[in-house]
Amino acid sequence: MNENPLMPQVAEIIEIVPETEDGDVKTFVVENEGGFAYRPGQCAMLSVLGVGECMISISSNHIEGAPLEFSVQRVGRVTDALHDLEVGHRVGVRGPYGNAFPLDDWKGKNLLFIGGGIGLAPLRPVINRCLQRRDDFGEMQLIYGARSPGNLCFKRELYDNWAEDPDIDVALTVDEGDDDWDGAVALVPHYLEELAPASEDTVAITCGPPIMIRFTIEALKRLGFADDDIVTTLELKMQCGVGKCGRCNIGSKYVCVDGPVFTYEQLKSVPQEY
Amino acid sequence: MKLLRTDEMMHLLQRLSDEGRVFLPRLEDETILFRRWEGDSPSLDALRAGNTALPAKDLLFPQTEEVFRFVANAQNLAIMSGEPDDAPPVIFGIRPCDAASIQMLDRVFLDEDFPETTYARRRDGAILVTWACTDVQDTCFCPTFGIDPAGPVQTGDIHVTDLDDELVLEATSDRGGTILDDLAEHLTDADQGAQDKVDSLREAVRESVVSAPAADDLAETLAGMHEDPIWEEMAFRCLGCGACTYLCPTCHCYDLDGETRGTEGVRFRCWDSCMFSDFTRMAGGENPRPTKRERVRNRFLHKLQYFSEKHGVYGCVGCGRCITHCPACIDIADFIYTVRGADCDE
Repeated sequence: MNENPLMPQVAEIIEIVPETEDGDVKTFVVENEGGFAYRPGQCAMLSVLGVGECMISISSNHIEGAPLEFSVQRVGRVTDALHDLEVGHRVGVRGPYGNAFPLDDWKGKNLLFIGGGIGLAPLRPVINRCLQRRDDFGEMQLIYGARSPGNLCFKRELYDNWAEDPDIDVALTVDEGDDDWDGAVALVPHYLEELAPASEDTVAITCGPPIMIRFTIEALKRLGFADDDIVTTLELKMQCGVGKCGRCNIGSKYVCVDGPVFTYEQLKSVPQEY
Repeated sequence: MKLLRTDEMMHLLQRLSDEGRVFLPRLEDETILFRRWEGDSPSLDALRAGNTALPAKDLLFPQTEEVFRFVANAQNLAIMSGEPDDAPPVIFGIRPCDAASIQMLDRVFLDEDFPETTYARRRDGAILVTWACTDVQDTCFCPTFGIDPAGPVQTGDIHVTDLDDELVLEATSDRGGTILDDLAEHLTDADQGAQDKVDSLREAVRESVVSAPAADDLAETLAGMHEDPIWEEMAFRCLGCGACTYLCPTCHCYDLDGETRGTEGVRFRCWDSCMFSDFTRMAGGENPRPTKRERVRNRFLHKLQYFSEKHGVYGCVGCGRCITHCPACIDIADFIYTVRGADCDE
């Protein structure tokens, strides 16, 4: 780690993968020369020098020396600038920050992943890691949805790797279909209740837009999931990433250091500021 | 305990200036502020008046500070360390409340996982000469947090009690002890009479502070008050000006921003305020603290519940600056009274 925790390392963009048809989500593959090790669920601060920084979840799996991947939706000033960059351009990277998904706590349990839109980005490395440790877990299922078929992210995983993998069941849904779409058309929380997965011995891990998370948690509770078996990730405005600048606290918890992974049990006792 | 004639204070200041740049309270445009000591005779009026308008926080955590510089062009990007001013200060005449507040900043900036190096360098070398309060203001309430307004403080190096013609000096750290040893020719041992004067002065000052009840289990009480109507009442009055956070010795929120000229730029850190509406607003427009209710609640609970839960101490020292200067008369001591009043019969 740099001596000054706020100072990024320089990293070159080596590949840019468009994720959605509208081009609003791209995966940036950047070199990892600093060699920082990270766990599924952790984040890093990406800088476009001269514009600013933003906290992005690391969507690759940590493999020694392998590049880092960040899937970024264009939503504001910094992400706009990031989307305008090309292969060969350089960004600043600092991290990794935050806790990680507690895989060891899930041993022997069924895993139900529920994602919406770009919310699949933090779930992707944890799903892949769980598939690598497949014997540690029971059934694995992913319920994933997006606004439209063109907005589904990580299609190579959805349609190739995971769809072909008997170790994980993938159920896709969209808010609005098109002529080629023959899958489910429903909002993620509705589709979840329709599928009604068993809550027994199951951990539900959900990530997506705040509104989806809110309704998904309600649906999970109706399906009988215990509060500490509901796991989610939060994102709030962050500047420092190191628990000091005071932006991302929810009660006494800082999303950048104590999160982004929380159980619903933990979130019940803090103010509804997320 | 040693005695130094008040008119020989220059010897102490000169010795302290060997340790670093000395800052002391100085009257400037009708306001008392910590300013660099230039070798002149210090103003006793400024030292003896109520507390400085601003705490000494910026001497350890500057209002603006360079983090790094960069050169970015199409071919390359280079990031260089900034050039922060990290020379440790000597803070002379700091009040016990403000000296105690530095413990809170330490907990934030010197945490185990991500200690901030520039703060650490300033803090490690800093010398604090604490000054017993004698002119207590009616907004002071430091005893609520267990602070003795005229007594020595754990973070200090030398504690001064002003007995008019004489200053009673107590070393409160090893470095403070060394400094006093070096000044031996100007000091005399404090006799029982001086000791008695210090004791009675401390007691008199302590009793002169009309303080809210001790904050013992305040955090636990507040944990159950997140939806209390009191937040709407306070938010209704709040103008969102941020004066309270600017004046607060323990507020540590900051922003990171930058300036770019051509291919070169600098990234800097500057104080920010949780009372501003855009503080938590995210790209895309979502804001987890969308109204003053959430922002006022966060500020008060951060001081009186969250900080205590996270660090084991309250994030307020009862200096009273936010009470004195709030244009809407929002009063944190009064708030503690109200909460404790509902909670106990004190």
